[in-house]
Parts: sequence; structure tokens; C-alpha cells
Amino acid sequence: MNQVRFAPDQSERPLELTRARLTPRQRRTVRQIGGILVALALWELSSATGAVNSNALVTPLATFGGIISHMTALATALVATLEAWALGISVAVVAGILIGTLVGRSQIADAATETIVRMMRPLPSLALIPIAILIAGLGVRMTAGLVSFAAFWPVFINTRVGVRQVDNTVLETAAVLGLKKLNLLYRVVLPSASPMIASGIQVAISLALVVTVSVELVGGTGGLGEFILLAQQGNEPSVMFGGIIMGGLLGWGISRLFAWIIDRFIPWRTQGIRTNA
Amino acid sequence: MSNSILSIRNLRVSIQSRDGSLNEITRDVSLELAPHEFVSIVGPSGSGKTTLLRAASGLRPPNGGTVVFNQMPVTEVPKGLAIVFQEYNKSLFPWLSIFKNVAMGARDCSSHERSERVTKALAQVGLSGFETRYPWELSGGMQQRAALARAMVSDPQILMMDEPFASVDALTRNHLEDVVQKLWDSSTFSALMVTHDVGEAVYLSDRVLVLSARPSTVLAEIKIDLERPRSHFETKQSKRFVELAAEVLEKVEEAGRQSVQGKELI
Repeated sequence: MNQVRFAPDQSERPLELTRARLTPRQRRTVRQIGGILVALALWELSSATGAVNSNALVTPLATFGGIISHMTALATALVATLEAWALGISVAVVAGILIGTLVGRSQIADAATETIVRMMRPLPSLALIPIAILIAGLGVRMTAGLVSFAAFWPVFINTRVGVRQVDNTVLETAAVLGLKKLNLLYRVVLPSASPMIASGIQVAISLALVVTVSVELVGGTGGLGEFILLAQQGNEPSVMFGGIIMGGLLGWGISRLFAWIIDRFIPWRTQGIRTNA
Repeated sequence: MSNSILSIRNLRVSIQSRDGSLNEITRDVSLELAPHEFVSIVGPSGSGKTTLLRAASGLRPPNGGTVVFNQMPVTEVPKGLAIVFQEYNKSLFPWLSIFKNVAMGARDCSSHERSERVTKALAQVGLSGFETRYPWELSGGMQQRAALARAMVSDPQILMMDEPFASVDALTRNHLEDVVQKLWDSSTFSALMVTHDVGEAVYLSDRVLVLSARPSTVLAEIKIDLERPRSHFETKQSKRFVELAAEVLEKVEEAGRQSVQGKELI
């Protein structure tokens, strides 16, 4: 009979019940929103108190107003930026994977390109604007060209390393299965390198957006960059901030979309770490 | 001798170390594997068991001696030879489902035959119903069974296994040993297994080869005359099993002492 007293009382656990109502994922979302709200509050505070010159740092509300009043122009600018970005990143991804695979799999190509790669890689894209203008003229092709130049490197470097660092057991398994040359490349080497390549692309897509907007801003070649530039020149800081915020949102959207695509197509990217540990 | 399916003669394997000098792993190993024979190679750690298997399978060229499979010299992994590796988590491709992983072993067949073979092989290893799962969704033992199924679909003449059960727990290991025994019983392939587990070698094999310390030679060859089929309950408690296991273990320990003495000399 004594044992009855020791039985745990399930009804008296209100705290744990409320905690359990949110899944870990929901809790994360709540925290993310919380972070944004805190950032907005800090922004509001620093501009409202005059801690930062309020002509330079407008309030969140004013920025929102700027976005609303220039909706159409912003949308046009976003589309233009997205177009240059997409063109540039596509070329970068295709070229980066192709050349990275070639260089990673061939010792001759690797040695032949090494010095050039080390020289070209640190060149800032913006320094190439004059050359790009001479080659492509002012416009989306010039922007896209510079974007692809900048975004090429992370894809290329990760692909090169990824196709070279295929695990020995994986390669031996492929040898036992009789996989050779092209079969080996696209059935084993590239899939095996795909998490690495995906990381490269992930870096590249953000970098590409930075370069797109920068080139537009410096070269005045349309898009979000030029929109920000014109707003600044027209002394409309709220509109300028609207443009900047939209750029940030664009970057967020693109990288979220890509993360979702990776999760779908390379689900073992994170699982692998767990099982290989 | 020409009866044997795999003939390894005076095999010598050296590994090039960083400074370019050759490090002799295997000095002189010969082995004849008869059709449908199960041979295990045991030896102290570092005796080059895995290196020997890689050279015997054509994964790496030997530095001396010959390997002949079906009267043909081995220069790359030949058709009719399947290998199961210790690291099942790397040996199965995480981007393919279990079905597609296993189907990789039968790429030459028509798609209809391939699918039939895969279904049969998965049933043999007890993985029916897991076709659409991915390797990383399965336990270690299940992954190794999938790797066995992939080896089976190619209908091999030789199955080589490199420490196949070293990465799973003891219960799973017993179970996997019986899966292998059943596959071998119901088929005609020869098996060559490398293991450090003496009990496992005796339990499964017709013959156990004990390698000496590095650079290795064959220290002893022990015939295992236990009745088949064998079971964990009965065979492992039989007097003969205990005797044979003790005999093999004694030789392995002798080899281990050699290796300790060798180190003292250095």
C-alpha cells in the first residue's frame, strides 16, 4: 500500500506542460522573431534619441513609409537586380562546377592553373568595373559578368576540394562496383562532393548579391544599387533605407530558398555527420 | 592447384612512407582458395591483413608476387569479385536509397532482372520493406546487411570481407555472422575474410590462416573441421570449437610476441 504514495503524480506538472506545447522548431521561430524585434527597437531608439544623426539614420517607421511610397520603383529595381544576380550566379555555378571538377580531377590542370588562381582570386570585382565596361558596356551584362567573376571562386574552390577529397572507402567501393571514368564521376565523385559544392554555392549566392548591388551602385547600372544611389542623391534617406532593407530581405529570401533546396536534395548532408561520428 | 579459384603466390606489399622509403607490410604470403571454400585471415593488429586483402582483390598492385583469379592475372578488381568493407557507413552511398545502393551491384543486368535480384538479395539479408529507406536511416547492422545484399546481387564467385563486423555490437555481430553463413551455405561463392576476432574466424571458416607480425608471412594454417551448419549455441560450446579457437589464438599471440620483440630491437 505504501507504494501508492510513491507513485509520481502526473497532474501536477503545469510548467512542463506549457513548455511542451511549443515544438523546438516553433521555439526557434519565436526566438528569431524576438531577435528581429530587438534589432528594430535598438534601431528606433538610436535614431529617435538622436544618438545617430536622424538625417542619416531614419526610423524604422519612416523606412516603412519610404518602401510603401516607392513600391513600383522598388519592385522594378528588385527585378532588375534579381535578373543580373541570376544571370551572374548561373554562369558562376556552371563554370565553377565544370572547371572545379576538371582541375580537381587532373593534376596537370591543377598545376597549370594554380598560380593564375592565386592571382585572380583576391582581385576585387569592383576594380574590374572599367574593364567590364570596356568589354560589355554599361548594363546588365556588365553587372552579371562581374557578379559571375566574384561568385565563381567559392564554387570553383569548393568543387575542386570536394572532388579531390572523396573518401577512400567510397572510391574503393566504386572500384569494386566497376565504376570508371564518367560513370565514376557522375555516380560517385560528384554526389560525394555535392555537400561541399553546395556550401560553395551558398557562399556564392550571398556574395553575388553583394557584388550585384555594389556594381549597380558604383556604375549606376539600374537595379537596387542605382535605386539607393538615386535616393541618396535626391536626399530621401527614408527611401534609401527602404532600398537597403529590401536588399537585405532579398538576400534573406534567396539564402532561405537555397537552404530549403539543399535540405531536399542533399538530406544526408547533416545526417552524414551524425552517422559518421 | 589449378582447381583453385583464387591463387595468391609469394605476395609482397610495401607502402611508401612520407620520406619516400618503402615500408614492407607483407613479405611473402601464398594462398590457394578453392571453389566454395571459406578462408579467414587472422593476425595481430598491424600485420597487414587489410593491405593483403586490398592487393588480393586488385584494389592496389602488389610489389611482388602474383594474384590469379579464374586463371586470369588480377590487375584491377575483376568481375565476379565482391568486397564488403568494415566502414559500412562510407561504403553505402548516402545519396542512394537502399534499393538503388544494392542495385549498383547488378548494373550490367536488364532493369527487370536487376530489380528481381535486388528484391531477392534484400530478402536474403532480411531487409525486405526497406527498399526506399536511405542508409543513414538504418542501424549499423542493417547497413552492413545492405552492403552484403549489394555484394550478393552481383552473384560473385568470391566474396571478400574486411573486418566486416568490427563496427557493430556483439549481438548484432552474432546475427550478421549467421547471415553470412546462411548466404554462403545457400550459394556457391568462395569467401575470404580478414578479421581480428579468432572466434569469428573459427566459427565461419573451413581454414584459418594466421599471419605473422609485420612484415608478414603465413605463420600457421589451421583446418577447421567443425560440422556445418554451425550455430552460436551449439558449435561455440563444443569441445572441438574451443580447442581450435585456442590453437588459433595461441598462434596469434605468438605472432603478437614477435611484433613486440621486433619493436624492442628498434
